Amino acid sequence: MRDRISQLEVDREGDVIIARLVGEIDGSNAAELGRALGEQIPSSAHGLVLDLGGVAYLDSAGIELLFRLARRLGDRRQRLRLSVPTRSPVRRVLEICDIGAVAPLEEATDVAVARIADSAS
Amino acid sequence: MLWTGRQAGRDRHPGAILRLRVFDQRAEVLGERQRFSGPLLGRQDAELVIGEAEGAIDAPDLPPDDRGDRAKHLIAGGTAIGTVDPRKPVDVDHQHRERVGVSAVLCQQDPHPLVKLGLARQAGERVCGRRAGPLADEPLPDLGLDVAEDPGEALDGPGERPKLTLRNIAAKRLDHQRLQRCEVARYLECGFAVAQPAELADPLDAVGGELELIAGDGTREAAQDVGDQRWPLAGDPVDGDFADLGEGRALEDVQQPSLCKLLTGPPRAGDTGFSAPVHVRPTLADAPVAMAGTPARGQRGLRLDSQPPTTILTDVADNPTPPDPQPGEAGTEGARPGATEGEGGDAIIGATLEGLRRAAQEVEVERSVTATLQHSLLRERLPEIPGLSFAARYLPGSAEAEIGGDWYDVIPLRDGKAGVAIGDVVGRGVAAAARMAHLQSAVRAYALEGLRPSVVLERTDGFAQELERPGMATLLYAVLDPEASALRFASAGHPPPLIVTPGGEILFAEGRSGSPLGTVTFPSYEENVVSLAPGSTVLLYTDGLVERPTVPLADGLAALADAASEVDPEPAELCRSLPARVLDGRSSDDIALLAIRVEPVPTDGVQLTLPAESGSLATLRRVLGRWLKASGAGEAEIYETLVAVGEASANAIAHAYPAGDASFEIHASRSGDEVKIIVRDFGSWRAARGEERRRGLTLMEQLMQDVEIDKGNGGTTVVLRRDLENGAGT
Repeated sequence: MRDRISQLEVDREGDVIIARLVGEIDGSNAAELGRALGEQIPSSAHGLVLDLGGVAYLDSAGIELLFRLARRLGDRRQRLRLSVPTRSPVRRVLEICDIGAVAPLEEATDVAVARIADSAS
Repeated sequence: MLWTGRQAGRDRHPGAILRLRVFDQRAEVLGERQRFSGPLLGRQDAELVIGEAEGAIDAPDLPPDDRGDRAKHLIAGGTAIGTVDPRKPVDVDHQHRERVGVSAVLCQQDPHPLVKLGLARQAGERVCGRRAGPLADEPLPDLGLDVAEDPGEALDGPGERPKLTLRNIAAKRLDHQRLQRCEVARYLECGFAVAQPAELADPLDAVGGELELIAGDGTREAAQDVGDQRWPLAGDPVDGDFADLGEGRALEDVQQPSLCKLLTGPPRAGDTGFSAPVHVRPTLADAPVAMAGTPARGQRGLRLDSQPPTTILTDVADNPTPPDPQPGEAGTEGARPGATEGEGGDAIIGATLEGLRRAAQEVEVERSVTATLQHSLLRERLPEIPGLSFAARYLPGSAEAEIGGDWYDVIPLRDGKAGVAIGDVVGRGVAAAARMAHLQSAVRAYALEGLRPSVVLERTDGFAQELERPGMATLLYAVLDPEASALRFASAGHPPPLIVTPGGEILFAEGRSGSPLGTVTFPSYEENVVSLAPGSTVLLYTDGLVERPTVPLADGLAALADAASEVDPEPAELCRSLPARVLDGRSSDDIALLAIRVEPVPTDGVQLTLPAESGSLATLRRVLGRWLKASGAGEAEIYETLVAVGEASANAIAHAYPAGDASFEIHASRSGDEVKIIVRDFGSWRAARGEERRRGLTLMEQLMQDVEIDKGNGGTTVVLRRDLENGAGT
């Protein structure tokens, strides 16, 4: 999926879905991105790693998207981990909103994928 | 061109007079032409056929026992397509009617041979026959005349004259009456004049004129005798000759609706026929007749000129299957083998007004298609990208009207950047425009993928090589980052971008250019980054602006730089005035221009009024981000400030009433190290709903040092403050 300011790419590694968000997430596109993300996760998957390394902007609309996503996956007993490099400007916003309570932050995507795969086995 | 017919007895008659008259509806003579004809009419009865003239007349369908008889076959393209009986109207076999162009019938009435000349085609239908020569594949143009046969006037006996009425059908579509002049070899000249019958529902309903072709023995008396006796409609015969109209005074002077009536001469026992082509050579220039339907080019018209006599005579009767005329038997002056003449470029039968009009229309259609295609490809409205301003211009080539394959494009990218492209497809016309369309789409697609310029060029080159009709093209693609004030570009054989600095300095972006698209199997494209001070203008252009025959490219670039230094670098003004200054009256190839200015960053602050809709948030970030960066804010400071302002703005958008028709304002200023940003809306404050809005408030408070919210009656004002620490925001 793509819009004027963001792009979503979805991949799969075993039973883990890897979604990479690129660009900016604000009130103009967060709801649509959330819907698109939800469609990409089959019930058979163990969980989702959301790679936010390419996100240049994310505000409370994006935070809301993450919380909803975590709640939805949790209902289906699927796990959500976020991949956010330490130096990402987004990280502080995520921490202020304590997203880590529902979706642990990892430094790298492969680590996040491994954690979900490990916890499932 | 060929000529078949009997040659026997050709010396018996010195010549003939052809007279052409045009009358108006009151039977007043509007014009007349007469011309003395050579000894052709001294032959046995002749049948002239104007139709396909390629090769010799081969008349396999011609019943042998008809040859030499009075009833002759109308022959076109080597096929007998009808019969000509001097006693009857020309009868064209129904299935062949469309093949018949012009037919002229010569009947000899010893000692006063008559000429019958007609145009045979099916009423109301399009034409008949084909052009000969190099245009053989093209349909014969509409001659615009028709033959209406009047079976009721079939001859009962000698002395009766069957009539052929020539109806101008095509004239209904023409604004002006038209003139067709045909010359048959050197011996005959005849013409048609047809006036516009626009006001007549059916031109046949009005007897408006008469075309009288009389062949005599060279004396006027003989010719006029015939006319006087036989065609009272003509009124008093005009006692004039060809000179009455004068060569320079064409029949287009005839303005009245008129019909042409062809009158055949009285048949005589022993009449036989000739077949001969008529040369009709169209010329576009110096046209006496303006062509209707030809758009906007008043001087384009048509003249049908006589063709110098080059005809060959063969004897149909003596050569039952004469695919190739025998030069030895072609005893007349100027006789040449028909095949040779048929290949002559100007030996074109029936290339008439209608045909030229059609050809002109084809050119117009092609032009129109190309122009439409190109127009649809060139963005009329360039996208709005905060921090950048654009202008573009396309100038069609001045030398030839055909449109080339130059194009430009502006593609908004994510993160507030802009992809800009300029390209030049080699070639012209529809084909070039179509290839340009392909390439432009490819560039846009790759650009939207966020690919870097060098990769965009590589991919586009691969794409270009897969095109069904590959060809060379130059292309320059660049990514402009208004926040970083940088131009990152790669070039496939395209002239370098010109940069006008805020101080007025002119320079060309340095960087190695790779091979043009479609020329190398595995090209590699170097990427170059040019830093642009805010206020700089970048000009992308195609080579029409800098390339001139015999002048080195470097000189062309220097001339461009000189000219650029003399004009206002504001994009629209640059596009408007630069070409004229560079070209200085010279004609040129197509030129496409795309000018981009990196807007100066206001140092004192930012004031913005934006629509109260979520789409404004990105614009706000672009503008404010540039200002913060220019104010010395670090990356994290910029981001966090933008999030805080974004939250306040999201509130303003949520408060907007009426929705979709409201706006909000941003005032950003700096005082010392402190930046102050005021977000003001004019709606009514609503208590934060849901976690999202509460998180928004939290973020503002966490990310900024001071947040004030004033919920007044006329709207809400949020004031955000933060001290900049030059990148130490976190």
